[in-house]
Amino acid sequence: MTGLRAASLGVPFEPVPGFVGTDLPATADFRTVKDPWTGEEIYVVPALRPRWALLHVQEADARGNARILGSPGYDLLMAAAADQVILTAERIIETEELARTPELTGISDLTVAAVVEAPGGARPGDCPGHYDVDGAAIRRYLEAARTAEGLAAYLEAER
Amino acid sequence: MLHRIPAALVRELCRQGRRGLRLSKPSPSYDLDLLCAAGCLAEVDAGVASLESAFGGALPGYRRAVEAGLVRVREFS
Repeated sequence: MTGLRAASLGVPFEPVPGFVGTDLPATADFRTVKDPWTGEEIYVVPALRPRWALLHVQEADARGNARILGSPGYDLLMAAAADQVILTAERIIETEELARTPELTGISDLTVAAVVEAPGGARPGDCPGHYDVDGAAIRRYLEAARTAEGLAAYLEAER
Repeated sequence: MLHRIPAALVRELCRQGRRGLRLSKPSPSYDLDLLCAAGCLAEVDAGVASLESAFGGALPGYRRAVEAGLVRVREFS
């Protein structure tokens, strides 16, 4: 999360609190810098700048302006960190409809490369206002993914 | 975790047989597991990664890929 935030802000790295005395920093190439005010060492993590953010939203216009209803989770952060965004949306709506409540438009078309209308595109996960997590479908996936053949059949069936 | 995941898009990446991808996501779940199970991923940057507790919590496809050395994991904050 911190690495994506650094990318979203356009800075090369960002300090993170804690981790001192744990093995975690060595696993992910955390490094330390000296706080220029206090002289204390602090861990920093590098910016993570993905090429693409792939997001599913409730509503977008054809240009890629989009709004997320309910918790955005980390999606707005991922959109800001990545070079470009690919959206799937429950519904494509008119720009005028978005413009009536512009404060809800969390993703602007500036970095959106593609938008696809894909109702049900978050299943078996949830999409607030449309559907909840589908527990039976999650269990069906887990069962199918136990073998390569099962997974291939699952991917063909879930189009 | 299972909240507005781009599931249909991820399934299409799997069907297209994409390889060598790097996933950077704070709390992935089904998407991470599926990309691992389908052999699409080479690297993962993630914090917590899990299905929700109702489904046993763990991500078996992710676990298998990491244990087999197929995926390099960096756990950032």
